[in-house]
Amino acid sequence: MTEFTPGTSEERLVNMGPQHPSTHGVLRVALRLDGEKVLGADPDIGYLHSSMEKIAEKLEYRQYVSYSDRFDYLNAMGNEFCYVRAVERLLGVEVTPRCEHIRVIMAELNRIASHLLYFGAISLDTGATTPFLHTFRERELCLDLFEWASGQRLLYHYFRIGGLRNDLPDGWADKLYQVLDLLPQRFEEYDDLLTRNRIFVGRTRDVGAVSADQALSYGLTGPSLRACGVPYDLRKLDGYSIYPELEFEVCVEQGGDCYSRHLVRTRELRESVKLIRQALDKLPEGEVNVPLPRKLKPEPGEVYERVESPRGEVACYLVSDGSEKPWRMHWRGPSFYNLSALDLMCTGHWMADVVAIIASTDIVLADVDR
Amino acid sequence: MPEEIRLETTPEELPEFIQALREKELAEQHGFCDATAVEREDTLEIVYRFSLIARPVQVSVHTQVPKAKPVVPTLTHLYKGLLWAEREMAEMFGITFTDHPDPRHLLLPDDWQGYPLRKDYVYPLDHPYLAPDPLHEDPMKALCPPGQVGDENQ
Amino acid sequence: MDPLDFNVRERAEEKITDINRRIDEKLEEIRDVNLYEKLKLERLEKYQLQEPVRCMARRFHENPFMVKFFSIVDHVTNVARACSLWPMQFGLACCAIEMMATNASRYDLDRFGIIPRSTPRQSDLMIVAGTLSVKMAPVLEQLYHQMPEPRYVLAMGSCAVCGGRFYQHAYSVVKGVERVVPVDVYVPGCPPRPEQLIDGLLALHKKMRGESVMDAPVVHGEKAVGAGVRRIITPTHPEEIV
Repeated sequence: MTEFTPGTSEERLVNMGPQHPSTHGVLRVALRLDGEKVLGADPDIGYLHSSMEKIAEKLEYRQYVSYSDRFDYLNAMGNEFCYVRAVERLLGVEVTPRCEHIRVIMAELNRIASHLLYFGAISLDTGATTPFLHTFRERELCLDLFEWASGQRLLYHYFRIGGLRNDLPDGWADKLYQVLDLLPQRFEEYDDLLTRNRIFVGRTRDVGAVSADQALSYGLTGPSLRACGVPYDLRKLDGYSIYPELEFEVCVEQGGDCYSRHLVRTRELRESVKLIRQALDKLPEGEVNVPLPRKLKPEPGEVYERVESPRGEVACYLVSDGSEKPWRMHWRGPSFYNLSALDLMCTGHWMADVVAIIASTDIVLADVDR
Repeated sequence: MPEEIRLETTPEELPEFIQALREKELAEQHGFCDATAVEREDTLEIVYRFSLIARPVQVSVHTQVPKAKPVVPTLTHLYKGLLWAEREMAEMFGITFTDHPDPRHLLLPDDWQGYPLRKDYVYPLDHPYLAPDPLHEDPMKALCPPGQVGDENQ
Repeated sequence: MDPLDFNVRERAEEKITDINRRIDEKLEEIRDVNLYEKLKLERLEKYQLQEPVRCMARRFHENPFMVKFFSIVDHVTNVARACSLWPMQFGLACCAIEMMATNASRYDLDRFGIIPRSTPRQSDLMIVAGTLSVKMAPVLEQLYHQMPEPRYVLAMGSCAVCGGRFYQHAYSVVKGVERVVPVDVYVPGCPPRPEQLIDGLLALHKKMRGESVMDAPVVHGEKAVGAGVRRIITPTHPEEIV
């Protein structure tokens, strides 16, 4: 180590280790600091690498559905949505309209739950501890609904290939209407606590800014890209499932900084409530499952199925060789590409901003490390 | 549903091919989606995927690389998202990307042997953390090992 | 008899294991369900007492005079430790979300005195929640050694208990946290419900009530002894205490 002369500063390497109070999981960031200014941030990942892609080659298609919701565990329904749609496209199977409506309702409810947790996490990271307890109160309402329908609070295994595990129980829709009536006023409460809070705005405005070209080059998607002014929302662009029949708007902000990403997510909360209400009103009667053979052996081929998750574009690239197990399954985790831009976002800011930036990218490490 | 355009090229022509694409199919505002590799019989197939923003169009570029010598020129000067995607493909399949600015391991520890996502990968079952649990494999043998106190009383 | 001489206890435990094994074999022969249940209950009553009572019995057997003196001190110490258990939340994966939910509004853990601390230096419990990968295992060991004693480890979720759903086909998941650190309480589930985690914490309280200030301290730097084997606390002599 060189000697330190007072009055000067030199580059130091500080480790923001795999275990830290921020609630995002095991991520190690090697920060190069000049005093408190960040010269470079190198994220070191792989501390949660669970070899999920190798496991997919050893299990049958149906057995992997419960593994697919462990990728982004805050959006388990969305992950299952992606994987199950990919397999159904490989098999050439069309599901019933009631099943499509229920899947969209579950995916949007999961988006609300995930954004509520993001709200709590970013408030904890920037120093406010109260909104965390408030958002978890509403999140518990959503998890109650999931538990009533699927049996599990967090990782559901509710979507099955060709349909769902079971139809919605009686009274579920009424309970959901009650929750939807309650949520908008609670969102106003959270905005009062956090979004319009001068300290929060000061900590997140003009911090971690990304331009649209840089974002597209890095592969950013989801709220991080929509905050840069690019209207890329797969629900409107691809129009998969029943989204073409539902009315909603794409939430786009300008600026690309942490505060814009936060605003995009708060607006998406309200759009999701609108979407669920429309899908519930139009819910048709009928069967939920489609009969399928016992052993699923799709034709040899490949499919890339993408879905909009709260973090961005989640996609499943499935290659089949005609047997009952996939030949290759690659999961495009949105957090993987969102996190690779961390160096760009952190350089030039203070060390304390790094925590706010990581919180605003809303990463889930299981998506990054797979 | 998005329209998918599938294109094939050779590894040597890859940088010029992608550069030409940016004037033709990808002339509009587009984003880098994904890059991955698939193992075929004698080759490794690398897939790069791009997506247009205004229209639902996906462009995928496929390259076949021989398994004996998997060397591909890097494209990190065109798309920064490939910095991490190529590092992951290198450690999982053993593909070498020439002129990659940062060719370290990404997901696996630095001293990992072997390429896990290849079909002929042998699991490191002699590692103390990864060895199978004797209590799970053969419970009676683990719980009541022979040579206990009291055997002579049988 | 030297109060730190545990050979008597070890020999008694070996004998108990042997008797249990022979009872198991006899039970297999019998295959009569009612008789099986009766014998099991008999065995339970005879040999498996509650942990605190068993520890007290052992100490009384070894040193009847000191027990009278230290029992009130033990009780107060153990209650104080149990009522303010500060975990270092080592949230790795999905179970971390359930741990956060247990800390949050509905299943409040603050009413048990449990305040999550981020640093190992100020915590006495480590809740390992989630999948432990091979790259993360040295970090876990280092954090365990950074915790001051008395320290406990709670393995939450099946991935931490035994490798869970990644036991069979994963090449980079450690098959159970017990291969890296000695574990006190196992809470299985995928993920375990908040009520299950609270049950695990209360079981840890019960385990803590069986401890005493007269016990020999844990040897510094010891590790779990391989897979599937219970940790054995080795005795020390006073001059070896570091």
